[in-house]
Amino acid sequence: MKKKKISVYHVICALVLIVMLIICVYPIIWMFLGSMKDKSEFYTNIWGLPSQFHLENYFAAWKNADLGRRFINSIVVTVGSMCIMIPVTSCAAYAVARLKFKGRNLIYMYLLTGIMIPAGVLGIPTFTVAMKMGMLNAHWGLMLIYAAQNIAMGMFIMRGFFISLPKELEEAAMIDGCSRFGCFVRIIVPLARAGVATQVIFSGLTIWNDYFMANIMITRDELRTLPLSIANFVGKHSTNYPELFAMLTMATLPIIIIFILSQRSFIEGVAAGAVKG
Amino acid sequence: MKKILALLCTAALSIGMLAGCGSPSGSQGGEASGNNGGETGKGGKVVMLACVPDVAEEQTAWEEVAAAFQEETGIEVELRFQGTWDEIPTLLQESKLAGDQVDIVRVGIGTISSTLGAAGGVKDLTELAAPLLDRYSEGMTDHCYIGDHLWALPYYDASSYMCLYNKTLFDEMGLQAPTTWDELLTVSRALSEKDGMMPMIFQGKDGWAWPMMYTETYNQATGNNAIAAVESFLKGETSFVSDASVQAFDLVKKFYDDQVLTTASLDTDEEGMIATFAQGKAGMLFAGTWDYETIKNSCDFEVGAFAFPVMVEGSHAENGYGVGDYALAVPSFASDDNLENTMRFLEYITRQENAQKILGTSTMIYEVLKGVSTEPDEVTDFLNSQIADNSAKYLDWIWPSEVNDALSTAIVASISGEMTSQEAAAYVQKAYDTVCEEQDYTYAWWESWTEEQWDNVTPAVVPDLSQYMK
Amino acid sequence: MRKKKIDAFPYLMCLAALILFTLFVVLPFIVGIYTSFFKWDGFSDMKFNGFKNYLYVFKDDVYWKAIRNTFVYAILVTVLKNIIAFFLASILVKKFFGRTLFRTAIYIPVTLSYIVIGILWVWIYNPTFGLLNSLLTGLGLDSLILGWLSDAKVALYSVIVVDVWKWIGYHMVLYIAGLQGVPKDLYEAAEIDGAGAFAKLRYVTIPMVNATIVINVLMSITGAFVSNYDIVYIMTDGGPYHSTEVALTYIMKTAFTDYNFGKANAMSVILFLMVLVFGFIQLKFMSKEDTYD
Repeated sequence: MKKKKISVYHVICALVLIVMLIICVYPIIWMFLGSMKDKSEFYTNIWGLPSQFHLENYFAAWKNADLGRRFINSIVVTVGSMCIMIPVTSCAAYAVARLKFKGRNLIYMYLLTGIMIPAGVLGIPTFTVAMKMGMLNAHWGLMLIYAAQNIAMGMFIMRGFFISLPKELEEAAMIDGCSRFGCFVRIIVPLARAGVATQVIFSGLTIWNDYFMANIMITRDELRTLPLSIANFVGKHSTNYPELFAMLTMATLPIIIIFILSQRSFIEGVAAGAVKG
Repeated sequence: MKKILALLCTAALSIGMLAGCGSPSGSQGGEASGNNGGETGKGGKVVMLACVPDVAEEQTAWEEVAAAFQEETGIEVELRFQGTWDEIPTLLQESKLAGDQVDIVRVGIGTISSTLGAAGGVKDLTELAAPLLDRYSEGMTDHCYIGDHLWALPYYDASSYMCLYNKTLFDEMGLQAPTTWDELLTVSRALSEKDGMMPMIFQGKDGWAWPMMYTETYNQATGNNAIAAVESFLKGETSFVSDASVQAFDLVKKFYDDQVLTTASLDTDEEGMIATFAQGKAGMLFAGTWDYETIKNSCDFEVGAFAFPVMVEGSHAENGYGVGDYALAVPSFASDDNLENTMRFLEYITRQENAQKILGTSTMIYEVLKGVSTEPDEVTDFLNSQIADNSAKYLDWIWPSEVNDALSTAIVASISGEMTSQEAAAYVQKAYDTVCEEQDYTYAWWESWTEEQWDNVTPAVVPDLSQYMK
Repeated sequence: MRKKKIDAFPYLMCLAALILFTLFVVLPFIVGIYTSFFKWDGFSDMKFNGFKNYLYVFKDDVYWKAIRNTFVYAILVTVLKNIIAFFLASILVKKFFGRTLFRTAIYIPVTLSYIVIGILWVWIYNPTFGLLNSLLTGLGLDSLILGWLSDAKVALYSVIVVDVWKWIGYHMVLYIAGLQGVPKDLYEAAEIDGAGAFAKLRYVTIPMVNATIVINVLMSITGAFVSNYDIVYIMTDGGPYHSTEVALTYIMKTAFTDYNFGKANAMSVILFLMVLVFGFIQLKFMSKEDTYD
């Protein structure tokens, strides 16, 4: 067995990691502690432990913002958008990456411009288009818009993965009598899991957290998603920070848990895709 | 064979997507026109668009009052609480585009005066709401009149700027609340000698807050004639580069130069200001009364109020003040046929007991509607004693947002020494010139409106409310 | 022999993406471009304005200051995020005790809401009770204390730090995945050839993770141009005197505070054109494996 030397490099690495650990974990602890304080302690005891744990903030936040329903709505919208986006981008990215046809680069470049469009001021035009199509106040309308807005990034990610696969794959499959679409679905897509995972992590988070589109597309209370709850706590004149933080803690924890559970398979999945390159 | 199947699948997927976008539009359109206003007589519906209330109790109170209203009249009220206050104009515009019914919109009078009103977005309430005005305390609807027409009914606490001090600490140190600039300086010096203490804290990181302080100095620099001066500036009759404006910049800067405010204030936001004061790290604070409830609840010491010091000889202290932060207006696209229902709801909620139920959910400092109870403490009394002769309408409710933004920028730049006061005033003037050039800004839009524009906002019928009033 | 017929398969595969994208991204943008030729406050009727809005934008000093800040922001954020994330990834790709803990910890800021980040960091920078100044005082470095968000020379960098902090975990995860895919034997081969640490990085690691680098760089650059609104808004909202104003905050202010949608859209179009050029140049330079035959 080789004995490991502790070099300066290792010390630096350890230091960097510990500093990162502190500055990255502290905020969530701070948020959690903040959610346990009462309104005045939030201002007077900023960095310390709450003198008394006010669990009732969680119950109040849950009730005031109707979080149960909003959780479900957010899950429906996020999963729904993914279910539209992933097949759509996979198909298109596959064509652009591995099929030869006229206009291929043009189509790719066209779709890629999506990441360069500043979407901020386009709220009203997007709303108008959605309205003309009768998509207001409907989860499926929101899903289509989210899917569309994330196509550009999805294309870019998926194309990268498809390109890295060896080209003999299809040939072999075709010899076995697979159709082109069948070969895409059965051979190529499973190999591009990593790309799918990257999309889920990137776009899923964006969609889960989106406030802007959801706010203008949904006017009915029972259809609202989780991020819209922020408005329930942030007022023009006063903001109930402890309850807001309680809400945000409840909204953030599931994401962190999903990350912990999936990070290994995600990272290895991505790596598996890259090995073939 | 398989290939064809696969192609069909893809095609079906794409077409299904298209169909998915296309087909429901018909049905949705039908539905939209179905609920588009107009149901009068028995039953009927009133829709109110407002941002989500600041406190959850207020939302509950609205729902209870609306339910009681329906019980009494058979008119259903849909309370559409959506988004935050600054998103309301956009949401209103979108409802208009979508053909959604909105009969009442809760919006700031500042927004009406600068954009919504000028664009003909809300109805003229002068005649409609006339029977309800008796229910408001003296002067409490003044700010909702623009060009002698009433555009909204205030339905929230009034607010003003205020100076607070840590009374417990002042008593301990044997200090008195300052009444003049010199006393303020003395007090400040005494406070800064205490370890870890700054004299006064202000939310200087928030750019929008600076015009608050400027308003106070400008009121004095113009010899308590600020509104007239600003109107003349906004009509293009006088330049903003005047002695008064320049002096007002100098006076704000003086707070820094004389160490009443320290540089810490430049880095402190609204929450930070409350925290600094509540932790006893600043002896005084200058803020808006909307923060009073939070400050009072957070401080474990006694809080007192004092008047903004007189800094210009011959002038008196004059606080920025406004009623109509949240005001109820009727969008011009709301159907006239539904006006009776709408006005009945407005009549219902302005009744003393209902107003008490809704407005009473947060601390009231000013008695906007007669009989609505206010916070029983000395600070409230002091602030109320000030408004009669010592307050002037918020300047940021008068001038356009571009000018306000330029002013905030100019103040911070002048304090930091990036601009002289003269340059700062010129910077504001330039912003005004730009708005005029780029957007044909006219301050007195109501003066140049055509007959047609007036028709658009004038209600066709004025329902007789007196039969419903108790 | 089969050449004469046009093969519909690739086009059908792209169809759904093209339709969705055109309807909900391009069409609104075209409406936006159309709006940029009008004077519109969002409520009254639109009035045709020709190219005047563009003229106003070109004359607007604040916009160009914002664009300059945006470029500084984009470059710094891209460099910092990628270097730090790459470095962290290179540590955390190795197997050691507590690896998952560190990975998760560094990913946490990605999941946090902007509103929490805003309050937390503004308070960390707070001069009266902020953690940063207490830390500096504790270390005896009082002289380094600055007006983190109020000093025009420093504020932009203070905001950039927060942006980097927030997104580092995301880029790190992508880099870890990329690094995991580099075959071990390549390093061994390089070692046999006598390559040092730097040479291994230069000749083995970087070429092998090129695709990941391209994704990360593109994401950080376009992010800085088209999606840094929230972070700048909550930290400084462009102040003090526009020293942290970036294109997006100024555009949003023009649209939703000043209700000047025509001019705001004109600014968007100009910004889009700049990002377009910048983005494609970056792709051209960095993508080596761009064609697949």
